[in-house]
Amino acid sequence: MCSVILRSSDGADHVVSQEAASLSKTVQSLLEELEAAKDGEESILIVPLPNVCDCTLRKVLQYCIQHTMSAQQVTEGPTPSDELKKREMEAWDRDYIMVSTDELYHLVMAAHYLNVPGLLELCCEGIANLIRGKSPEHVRQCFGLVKDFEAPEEESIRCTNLWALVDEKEQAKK
Amino acid sequence: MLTGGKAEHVRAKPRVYTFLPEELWLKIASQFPLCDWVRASGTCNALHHMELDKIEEADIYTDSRNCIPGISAEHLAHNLQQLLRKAEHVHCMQLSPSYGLCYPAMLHLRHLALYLKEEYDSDLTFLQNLQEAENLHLSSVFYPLIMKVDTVPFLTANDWVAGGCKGPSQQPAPVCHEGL
Repeated sequence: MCSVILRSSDGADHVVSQEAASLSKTVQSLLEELEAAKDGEESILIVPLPNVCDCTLRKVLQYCIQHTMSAQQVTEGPTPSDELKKREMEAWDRDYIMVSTDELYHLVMAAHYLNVPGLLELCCEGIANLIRGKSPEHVRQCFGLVKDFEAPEEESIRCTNLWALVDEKEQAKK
Repeated sequence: MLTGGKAEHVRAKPRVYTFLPEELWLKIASQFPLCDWVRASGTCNALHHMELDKIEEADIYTDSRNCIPGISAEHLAHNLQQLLRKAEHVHCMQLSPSYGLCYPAMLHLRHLALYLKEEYDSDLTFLQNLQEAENLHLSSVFYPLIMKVDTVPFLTANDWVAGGCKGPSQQPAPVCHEGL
């Protein structure tokens, strides 16, 4: 299997199969450009990724490798256990995305830049889960957002959104 | 999908998530119910001015909080209406209950789950005007409205009976129409 090197913004190299790397559409298109430019030489391709740090790239590659392996197992022939494998992958994804808010932020940005659709979807779901059921204040704290409304505007928004701002505990009591 | 400099992962400055590109926030918004979206939109200007009309695949729904003390159904319906007007390009919507909204033209709506709690003509008009419906999941406790549903071209009263509605005292099981 052909391997490529993905180089992070801080200069760390990661050797990975071309198949796994190509889960990233950004990497895939960069590889195509590099292939065209290398002019028949047999050297291993190095893809620089200036927007992704080593730590995040490691995490992204963990996803790519796992999903490539899983896809290979399924394409080798459908079996009655395919559904089980699918459920196992879903469970793996759930564990994988159990990271801190900071990590999740870096991961979603990397997934966006690298254009890995499955990972992007998973990260957005992870962030949505952090927001779901939380008050605006909690969301602000969680994501470091700054309340930048003018006072009258804030009051108007509060009145408009009143129906969604009912205290969760009050609802639970009902 | 390159995002340029804003994608820099500067560990020294965590928790400045306003720099998530709008398209990412829209993707995130498409994952949660309307009332969570409303709460998030009350956090800061960036999220408040998010262009909901860019959402194409959103599972927008209200949850079971349909009896909020001190908040009238009119207030609720008015504000939902404003939001739906912004999100008129959604493909997928679950609305429970319907609140008798004056629905905007949702020409791209393909998947709809609607719980009809009371008799509202606007619900029928809305159903009659759905051009792109593929999956429709309806339920209601209001029997007379169910009888009127046969005025919707792609629904018949038989469908509702098949769905379990036999009389006004019974709550019908949801009816699912696929491939309309």
